[in-house]
Amino acid sequence: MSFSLFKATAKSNLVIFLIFFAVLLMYMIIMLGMYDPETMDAMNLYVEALPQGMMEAFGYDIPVTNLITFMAVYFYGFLVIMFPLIYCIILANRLVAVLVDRGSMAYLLATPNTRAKIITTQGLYLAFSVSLLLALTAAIGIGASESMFPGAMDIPAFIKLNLVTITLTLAISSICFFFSCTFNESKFSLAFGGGIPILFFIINMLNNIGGDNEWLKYLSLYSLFDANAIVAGEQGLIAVCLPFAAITIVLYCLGIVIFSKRNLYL
Amino acid sequence: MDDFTNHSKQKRIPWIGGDYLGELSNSVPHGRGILTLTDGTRYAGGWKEGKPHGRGTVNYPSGGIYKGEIKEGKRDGYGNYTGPDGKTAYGLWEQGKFVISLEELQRGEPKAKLAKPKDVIRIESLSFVYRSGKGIFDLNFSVGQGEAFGFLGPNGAGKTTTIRNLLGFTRPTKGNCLINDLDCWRDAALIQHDLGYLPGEITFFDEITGTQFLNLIASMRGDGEKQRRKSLLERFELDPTGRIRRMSKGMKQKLGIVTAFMHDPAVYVLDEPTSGLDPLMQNEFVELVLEEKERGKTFLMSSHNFEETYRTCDRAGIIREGQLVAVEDVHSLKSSQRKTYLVTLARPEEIEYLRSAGLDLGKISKNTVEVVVKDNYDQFTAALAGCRVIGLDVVTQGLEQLFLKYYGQEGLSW
Repeated sequence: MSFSLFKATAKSNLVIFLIFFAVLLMYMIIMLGMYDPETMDAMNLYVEALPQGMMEAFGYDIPVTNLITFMAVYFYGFLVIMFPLIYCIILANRLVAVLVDRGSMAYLLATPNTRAKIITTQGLYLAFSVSLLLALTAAIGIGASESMFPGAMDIPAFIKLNLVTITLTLAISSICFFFSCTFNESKFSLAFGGGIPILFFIINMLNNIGGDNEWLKYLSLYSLFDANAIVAGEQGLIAVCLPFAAITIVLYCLGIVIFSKRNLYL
Repeated sequence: MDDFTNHSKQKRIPWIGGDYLGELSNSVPHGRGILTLTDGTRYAGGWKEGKPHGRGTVNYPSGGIYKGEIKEGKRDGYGNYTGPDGKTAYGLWEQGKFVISLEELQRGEPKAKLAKPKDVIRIESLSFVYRSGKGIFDLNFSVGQGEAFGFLGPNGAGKTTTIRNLLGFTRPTKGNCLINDLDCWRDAALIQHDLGYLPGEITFFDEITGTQFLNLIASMRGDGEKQRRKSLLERFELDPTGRIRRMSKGMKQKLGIVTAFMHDPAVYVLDEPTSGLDPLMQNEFVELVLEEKERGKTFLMSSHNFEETYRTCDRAGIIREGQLVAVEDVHSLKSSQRKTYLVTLARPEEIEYLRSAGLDLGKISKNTVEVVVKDNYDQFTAALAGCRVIGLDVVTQGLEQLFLKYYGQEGLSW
């Protein structure tokens, strides 16, 4: 890894990071603000106002009884999947494919650093910033829920939920990174690196609706993630994380290898 | 200290007080890397059994810099040495001793003692074919140490394709290219220690300032030297403090030139270096190239402008549709180039006089005639002296018209 490049990359992508962090925080605070431990009525009214299909698509059709389930269902079931997904797509594309497409990668490769080293640096930044985004959101989530509803949050379960979310998002980022390393033009990188995870996301929503679409779940990575089941302790941490971690490692490594060996028309 | 026994690549380890970055075997640096010794001496290059070996750069703590061949830790071969006093001597070194300078070499003194300067850039049967079937085909040429080689061709002829192979961006379909005896594909990263590259298309990281960009590249090179960068910025009157996005095309080009030159490399590969520069800055660039050449630097410069190549280069290769059609001395190219002058005469009848004087006439309109001149300037001026000339203009032409000999008739249709 090139530390100089890592610093420069972090600096030039700081604004995007801050925007996504701010959006996640905003939603988290709004969500927490909606929680009323005494009567869940207000929230239930809001949810019932939604059409049945949309409720199911968002995964909001699970009875909420406490703060952790509330967060798992309303925040981690949908928003914490969607925003980091968009973040991964944008950032992975910017870190590799855009540099190759626009030609500025030529300057980096004209320094005495191997391609593998340069691309590993970019990959590490992607993985690092995705993890940091979610870890910071989680940390502030714990702080906020403790100050708003002291003692109401099941912190160990919340941390577990976040660990799974981070590994899931890393797996998504690895898909984006892999395609960003593979294509010369950023439009193809976006089409595949963005298209496939978004397809997973849509399949997941269709799958939540149920019906005859049960087989669809085998087509989406998100089917392996059930925030509610994790919180309820129905899914073991390692069993859930293992496939995500495997995908992450394989796709990051493949991306690095492909980038090191392919022709770059810079 | 267990790290010494590992065969670890590209790993930074402390070694007798210095930092070694490279491959390790048998507890001692072996392979290629950079190492700072306890006395402050810094080597960048090949290592064999714990000693510098092969081509590399030595930065002495006393202030001198040696660039060249190193054998068993001793300076050996052709190289460039800048002493602590700031004076630079380029020439042959043997066992750490200076044998003969470039000046003596040029005066033709004990030439017998010396072998031919080695070829720094070697392109051997190089082919790179795109899916469309276009590309470069079986190129063969080499550039010697201290030589400037011009790579001439119209847009799309294959200049940039060749340069991509030299930089290791693409893998040759067939054949290979070498810089300093290192394979351009396999050893791409290592070659960059001593290579200055200017891309043909200037695209930087828009969101940062010029200074931040130069700092990034310098730190990725592990190069703390700022003096040369400063003098280059002054020379090209470039203020790098603004955001690159706000810079004009000319400023970006200058920034690219500074990036390519600031680490004082031994070899330069420049893709259309003067595009976007105003004539004053083009002159500054030409002077810089000539100075660097004096210091023994090797250049490969692509261009679609012969005049610019003529001013800086010793030899030039002409490329057409991916084939190298000629490699010649620039002076002989100069004499084979065809130039068209637009001559306006006071009386239209005089056009016939020019024809009878044996000049090659082109299009005629009223009293204006195109005259094609190759190496017959005497004949041209003598004929003009016999008429009343009221206007004389040179017609701007592409390479194809200038070098009809190499491009042939179909070249005109481009």
